[in-house]
Amino acid sequence: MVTDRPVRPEGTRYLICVVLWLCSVWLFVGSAVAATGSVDLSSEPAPVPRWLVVSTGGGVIGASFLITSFVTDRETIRSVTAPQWSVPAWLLSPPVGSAIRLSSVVVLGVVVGGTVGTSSAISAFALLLVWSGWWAGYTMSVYLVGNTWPTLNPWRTIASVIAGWVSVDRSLPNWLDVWPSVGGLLGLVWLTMVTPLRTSPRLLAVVTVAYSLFTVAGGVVYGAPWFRHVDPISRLFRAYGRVAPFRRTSSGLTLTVPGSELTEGEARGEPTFIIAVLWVTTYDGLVSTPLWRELVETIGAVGVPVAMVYALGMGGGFGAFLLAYRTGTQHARRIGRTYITAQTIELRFARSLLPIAASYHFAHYLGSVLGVVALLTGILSQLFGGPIPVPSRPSWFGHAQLLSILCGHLLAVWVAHTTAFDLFTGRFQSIRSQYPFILMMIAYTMIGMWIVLHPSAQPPFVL
Amino acid sequence: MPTEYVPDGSTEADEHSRQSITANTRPTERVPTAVPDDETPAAWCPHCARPFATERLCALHLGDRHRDEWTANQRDRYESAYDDESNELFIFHLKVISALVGVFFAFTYTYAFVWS
Ligand SMILES: [Zn+2]
Repeated sequence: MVTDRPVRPEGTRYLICVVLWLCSVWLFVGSAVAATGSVDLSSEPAPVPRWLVVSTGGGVIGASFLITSFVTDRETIRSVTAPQWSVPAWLLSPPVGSAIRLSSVVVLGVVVGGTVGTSSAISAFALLLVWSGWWAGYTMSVYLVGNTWPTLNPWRTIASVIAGWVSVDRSLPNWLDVWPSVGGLLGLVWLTMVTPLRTSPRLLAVVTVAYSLFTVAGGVVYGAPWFRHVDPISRLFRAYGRVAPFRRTSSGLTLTVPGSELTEGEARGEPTFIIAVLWVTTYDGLVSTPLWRELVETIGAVGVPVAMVYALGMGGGFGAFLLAYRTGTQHARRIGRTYITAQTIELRFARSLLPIAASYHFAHYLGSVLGVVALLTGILSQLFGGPIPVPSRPSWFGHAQLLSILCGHLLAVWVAHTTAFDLFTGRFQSIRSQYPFILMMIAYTMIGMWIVLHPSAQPPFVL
Repeated sequence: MPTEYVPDGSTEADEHSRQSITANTRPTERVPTAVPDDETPAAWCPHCARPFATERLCALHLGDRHRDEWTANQRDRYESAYDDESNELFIFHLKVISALVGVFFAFTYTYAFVWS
């Protein structure tokens, strides 16, 4: 194996670097001790103001980039994400897959039946199953464990069964590009904001049936490519699944280092879709901040319908995110002095944003998943004659939220570093071309933390 | 990785290529490039004709991608370019250390100020 050119007379240089590192660590620890020493520890420490938490988040991202810039050996960088292990194949045996597929169709039936039914307890359970169980909890399993949606997707199962009877084999027109999936994703999330979709079982039933008809029809006509390129939900899970450690390969199941798949890119508009994912997760949190409430009330006073404000915010924010990303790519190209096309750079760096979106989803929905877990344990304990525990948020809740956001960003910094060293030439160009992406990540961390730190109010509904 | 039919009916597997992480050098890979209208490349790679903005980047590229096919002269060019880059990186890393120290201090004192 050839490695980078071995370091020849540079021993002294690295000695200087090490000494400087030690000095700075010593200074840092010393000043930290001095600083805490001056604080009266007997009293409760004052809560950290929000602006300081937010800028600390940005600072940590910046500092972690500066630290990774010392890792410049391509062999070392590759070796971090290279390990992979294969998983026994019996987990994927056809009977197991068929059983899972069948039960997912049953669950879909239960949800639709439950929301249509008259019993309020059952419809409340169906709502909980969809929003806390699936939209929050299942999505977490996709980016933390692996993308099981191609097997679980009940619409795909139904479509494939129907396609066995009637054979309509069309190929997806190329001009569609990424836009149906982006439009579908933005539209679905917009729908959850402007309608009481999260609280009204009837509406949920209507939307589910409409979505089912549309998706099954598309799946029958266009086959697998429909779920790959058009269906927004399948595409969302496929994107999230890239972060996960387990992945499906043609030989079975593989366990890898999380993030090892993020240094690649896929054509057909993947960057645009990833930007849309990042934006909807952000917007989902943004609408429950007091600032958004004020904005909606101010604009609503002029007479603009609230649904319109939400739609404009959705479209405008997505456009702004996309523009920021494209501008950043152009800057990376100029700063790094590379002739690699902007399109290629866009494609290769887009997936580094996925851990950020996933961590942000985690922070946003952790509360609702913990709520379901508390509820289930409450029901179980009641079944066994125990007392009903009062659900309360654990004390580590806020810390877990901020920690998840930081972890996502740190993974993103490392992925961007790996991608840059794989794509660009030499070491200095690879470091410098990351500047715009790191600046974007710092800005995004600060926005994300600012949103998470706000007390989440119920977003203003239209109804 | 060839596209294979995956038994569960999904073809998700075909696009999971991990080439760039597992493969060490990819001399055959062509990265799409475009030279801006108002610029002329300073050098082209003798092996894959990729354009570069500076001579040094071209020499570094030889070591990144074409170790199996380079001539002794190209190897010398790469080694001197590598040493030049190392010198620049050393200065850069000194700046990075001072920036890190600055960030650490700024935050430490801000927290000390806020908590006291
Ligand atoms: Zn070349």
